[in-house]
Amino acid sequence: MEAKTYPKGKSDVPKVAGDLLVLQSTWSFMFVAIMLAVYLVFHYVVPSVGFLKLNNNLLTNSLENDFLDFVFRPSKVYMLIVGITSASGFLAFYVKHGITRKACFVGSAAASVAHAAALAVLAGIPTAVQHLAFPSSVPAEPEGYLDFGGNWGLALLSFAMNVLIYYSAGWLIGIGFYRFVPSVGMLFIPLALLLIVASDVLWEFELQNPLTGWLSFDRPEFTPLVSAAGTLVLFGAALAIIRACTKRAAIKIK
Amino acid sequence: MMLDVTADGLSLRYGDFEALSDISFHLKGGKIYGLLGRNGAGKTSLLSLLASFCEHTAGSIRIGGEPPFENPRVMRQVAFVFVESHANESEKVKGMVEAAQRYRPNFDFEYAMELVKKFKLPADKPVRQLSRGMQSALNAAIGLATRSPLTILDEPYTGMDAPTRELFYRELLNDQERHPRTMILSTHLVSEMDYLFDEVIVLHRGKLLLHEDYESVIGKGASVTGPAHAVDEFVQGMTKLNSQQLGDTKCVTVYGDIPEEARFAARRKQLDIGPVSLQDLFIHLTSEDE
Repeated sequence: MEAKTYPKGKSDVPKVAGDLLVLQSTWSFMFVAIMLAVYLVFHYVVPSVGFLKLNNNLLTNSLENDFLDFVFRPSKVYMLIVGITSASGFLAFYVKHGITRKACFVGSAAASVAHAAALAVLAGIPTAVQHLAFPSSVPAEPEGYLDFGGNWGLALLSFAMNVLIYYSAGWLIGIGFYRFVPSVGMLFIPLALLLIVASDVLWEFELQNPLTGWLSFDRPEFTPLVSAAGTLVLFGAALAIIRACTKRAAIKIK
Repeated sequence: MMLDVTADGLSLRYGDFEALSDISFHLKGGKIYGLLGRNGAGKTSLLSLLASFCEHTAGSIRIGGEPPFENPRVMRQVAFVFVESHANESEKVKGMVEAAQRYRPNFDFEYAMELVKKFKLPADKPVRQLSRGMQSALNAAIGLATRSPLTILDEPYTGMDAPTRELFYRELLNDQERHPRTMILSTHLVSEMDYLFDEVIVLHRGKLLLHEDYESVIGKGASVTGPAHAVDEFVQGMTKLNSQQLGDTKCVTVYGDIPEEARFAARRKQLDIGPVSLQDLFIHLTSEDE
């Protein structure tokens, strides 16, 4: 008789999610540490040296605010890059180790949410220290990208949701190029941009992101709750496309 | 646990190109199968299907009675070792072993590290800094230590030097004796690895050309050795695969069954009838159209 009884096995999803979260959070820890060092130098050291002067308005403005505001835009770029590089590499790694595409996808999606939250917390800790220990060095109610009138919970939530969208945009691009020929993969770049612009529109009034300045239409005002709900819808749409592309994807081996 | 593998009318198509066409076979659990075929014959395509790296376009596969693709019960019991580039792999040797241990249910970490030592791999060195042969040795070590009921090795020796390959073959046989599993070895080094095979599968241009046990395959031909004139006379009319001569002694490899009367006659003429090499047969079987 050919049929065998396979031993019962636990779902691989928690293991994949946990491992990816730890790995990516380690990268994020290093990223935040580097950004913190840069911030400390430009926020505290450079202004105390008389002959040094920053000529970049964008940098100057963001340096006037707290660390969370300073690290926000670099974090989005960082998450985009992590999304691009992680997508295909992890899929091939996990299938090679006998994990299904489905478990890999669900685990990766769960890890991406937790990772975005972890990055917000990692960036939030030095910011909290900054406000508590050196209150005179930062405005009490920052007016940068994350302007929520001193509501730090909301600031961290919007931080996490925005970097999550950038991660999923990177994931989309990475999968597009992995799954399809380059000419088709290129189409995933405007798709990812669309996702980012839609997210920027949702958060525009809170974040005052320059990207939405490209669009000339009357932008509606959204409450943070609507922005958050809209972001979840966008994230869900990105996940649906990623899953459709990876559900039966062939793994490249040579 | 040992897993049978059954393919029925299996086909794989990439656009207009048919990589595999109507392949059917049954592999009984616990044996070592040699998968042979020329470049582009479809060996890696077939192994990719078994390892769920891609999905077939027609027919069916059953591993242990269940379809493997996206089946977690099956996939975690199938290991696929292939030639892969670790040029950008910053993980250390030990880290790679630990990663495999984390996801493979039967993984033997101690055995893996024992192999790492035997292959003289530096455990604390990033994998990208290893030579090609050392990377292959690491892949092979992890593949063996995975102890997967279906272990697939696709040209695992690439870049290994001769002593390392010899060590690998010895370890493979020893571990197979201790922990029998279904093993499929795809290779171009036919003469070097043929003694490992219980059964032989030959693919040619995407089709199954032959699947028989090793003894039956090499019984499909014979080598005739003796005085040159007597050998030439004896093999007249037979399909010759290979011919070598040293002084007056000649050895001709022929394809086809030699009846008992002919063997008796050969002995009277002081001709020695021996087995044919799998490599000679393989070359003959896959070059008929050239």
